[in-house]
Amino acid sequence: MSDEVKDQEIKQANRMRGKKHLKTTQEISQIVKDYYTERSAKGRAPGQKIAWCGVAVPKQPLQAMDVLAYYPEQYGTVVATRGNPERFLSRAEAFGLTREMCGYARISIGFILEGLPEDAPLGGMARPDMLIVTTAVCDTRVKWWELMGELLNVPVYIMEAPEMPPAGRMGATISGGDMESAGIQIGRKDAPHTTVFVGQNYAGMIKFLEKVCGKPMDYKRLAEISKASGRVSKIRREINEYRKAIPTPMGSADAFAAMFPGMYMPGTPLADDFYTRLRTEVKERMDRKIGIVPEERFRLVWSGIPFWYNMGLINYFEERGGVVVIDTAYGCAAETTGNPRREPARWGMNGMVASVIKATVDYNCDGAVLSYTPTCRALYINQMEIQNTLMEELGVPSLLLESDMVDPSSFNEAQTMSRIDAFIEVVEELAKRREWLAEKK
Amino acid sequence: MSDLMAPFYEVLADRHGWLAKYKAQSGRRIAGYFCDYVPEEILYAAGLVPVRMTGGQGNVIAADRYLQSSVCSFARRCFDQALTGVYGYLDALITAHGCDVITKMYDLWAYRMKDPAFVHYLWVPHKVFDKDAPMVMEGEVKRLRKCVEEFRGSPITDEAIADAIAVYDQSRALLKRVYELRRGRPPAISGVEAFSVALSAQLMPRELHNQWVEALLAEREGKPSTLDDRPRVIVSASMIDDLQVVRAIEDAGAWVVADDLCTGSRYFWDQVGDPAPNPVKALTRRYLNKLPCPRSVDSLQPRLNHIQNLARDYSADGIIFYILRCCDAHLFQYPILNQRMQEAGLRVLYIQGDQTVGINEAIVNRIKAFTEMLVP
Repeated sequence: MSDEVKDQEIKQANRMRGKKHLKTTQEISQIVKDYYTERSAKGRAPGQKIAWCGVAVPKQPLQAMDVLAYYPEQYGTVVATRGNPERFLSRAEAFGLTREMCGYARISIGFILEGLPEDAPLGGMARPDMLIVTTAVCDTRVKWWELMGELLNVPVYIMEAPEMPPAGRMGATISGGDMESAGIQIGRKDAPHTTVFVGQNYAGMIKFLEKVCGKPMDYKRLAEISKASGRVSKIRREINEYRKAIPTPMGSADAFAAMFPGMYMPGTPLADDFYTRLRTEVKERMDRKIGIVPEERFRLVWSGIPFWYNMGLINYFEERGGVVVIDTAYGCAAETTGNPRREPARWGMNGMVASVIKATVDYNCDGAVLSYTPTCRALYINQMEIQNTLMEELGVPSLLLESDMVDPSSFNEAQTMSRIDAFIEVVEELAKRREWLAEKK
Repeated sequence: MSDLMAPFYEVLADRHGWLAKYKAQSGRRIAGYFCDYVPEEILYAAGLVPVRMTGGQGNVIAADRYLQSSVCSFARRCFDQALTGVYGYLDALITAHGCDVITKMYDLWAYRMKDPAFVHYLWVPHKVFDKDAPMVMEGEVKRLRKCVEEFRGSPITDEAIADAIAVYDQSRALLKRVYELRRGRPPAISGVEAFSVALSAQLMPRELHNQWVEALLAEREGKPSTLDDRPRVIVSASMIDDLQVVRAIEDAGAWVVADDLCTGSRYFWDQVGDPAPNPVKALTRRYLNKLPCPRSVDSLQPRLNHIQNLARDYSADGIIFYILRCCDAHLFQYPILNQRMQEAGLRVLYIQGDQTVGINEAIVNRIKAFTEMLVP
């Protein structure tokens, strides 16, 4: 290989690695590493129960039962950002899972088929005693978890959470609270049985945990953990509130990393401490008007899953003078909501669409980046409607970028960059106007 | 003999034209529905004609603005036709929680389409065999009934539902008898014929369809077959809503003797049975316990059993899986299903389906090669 080619490759690898701007968020890499180290150590302890869980499974009952949880979706991002995803992706493909299917699923199935190797990134996930997933977010995970159960021969609990489209035909109404769950709306007033079913399934999950763990739930502890995670959520909402400031003190390049403790260890002192310090840092930056770029020329919202193997893509907007201010897929609730100068006539066809429209309004954004993961059924059907609704209701342009979330072979960098450049020209022009700002900067 | 098949073929040749004409003549309102988890009996009891939503094969142009090309081709085709007015005769539409795509399509239909006047979403549990599932499913069946009552402006009586169950159960029994004509070697009816009968049932008023099937059965049952002996295959698919796939297989020299399709055997195999004392509970029971779609939890074993029983009873030599691109429920279940089929001694062919592509030369060649392999 010539030095020039090698140089190019190093440059590209560096470009693909995301750059975080805040001090506190620099700790995340170590937190994730420690999380897995602690798990591999504890996982070998006799009697320690291990669960592989889907994102959005309530974590508090797991913590209250001392269950060690791994999240295959999160592990997919670990493999994509720290390892060689191809190793597991190709193993899954040989088994019969094609490239049109969820990349997270293919990585975890490939990891199982490889025999749960300990030389996998961060030591891999320890063999589980149980698998738990919820039907919220997507239906694909139901089949993915069942298949893992079949391959690992362990019990699976599926927690039903009926996602209901809005009643009537005018689409969603969305509250500030809905932003916490990425706009996913479970149950509906005119279908109370669906809400009852959620309760039955939550109780069913606790029973399942009690059975596998061989001990009763400690409800006092559960209440304490729930309270602690409620506090963490509140701090995160405060941080998001600050992100509305122009210039924004924290963008999504930092936020995608910073979500880890909140999503995977919400009721812990570590999460509390991390977000408390992050809040201080974000607030300070806001007060001192320290932005992500020297002069913040445009603000973007990111919809959908980021391309984990190329987090540097988000920094690319910064090179061009703009910031991805907020992202919606993992929740982006803030303390306050709305902007009467920018109220759309409708919010979009469902809560997931509405959450992006609302984030655009709430966080003073000029454009949207819609990560279009063709392997993700739950998201791919919404993105075009988000694009249509943003334009129809707010006149906000958006850019669809297509790739699987963990499979780099699905990404075309040169084409993507030139489309981003063209998009930025449009957004920058619009950002000069901002009639919806109370005071012009 | 083929004359009695003509009406079924006529419906399939131009289902939309046929229905529009029927609607104009009869004055009955038409209700489209997605997914075989929708309890059609409620719609039928309300005087509506329930018809299955189909996409058929062909290009997609109008729907491109809403659904990208990587989205399920069945969903895109259905929506494309709706946008171009093909489904203009629909008065009502019921979508069910079948999969992520069809679920989210509710919003598109409700929002982007002027007609139909009534659009309803029915949530169906994944855990269909769970002890708590009847509560939530019954709630959804009752909600459907209430909403349809509001739409038509008068109540739907228990008696009307019981009558609808009788018509539909009769249809299910008749369709099973048609399928059973293929048990013999050679079969007494071709796969194209049998599937035409089953598919057309879902596209027209059921009481009329029942009459046509009774006449056909009177002619065929107990008579010697006029067909030749050929390799015998089962078709399993995520969605087949026209004759192309079955016809391609039979043109290649095999008989399709049975199927594992939600528009075929899985659609009609299970009866509701006695509606007393509560027809809504009877419907709930039937729709939860029927042969499951792979989207449902714990569906692998019942599907395996069903296919293995069919293979035994219909003397199948092989199975062809026709799975639409991006159909996760099927794609995740396929690797294990494939293994088990091979272990059971069945030869397996996998075809990736796409309704915007249809059956092309490459697929035809693969089917031909597979069929030749099955010749003893």
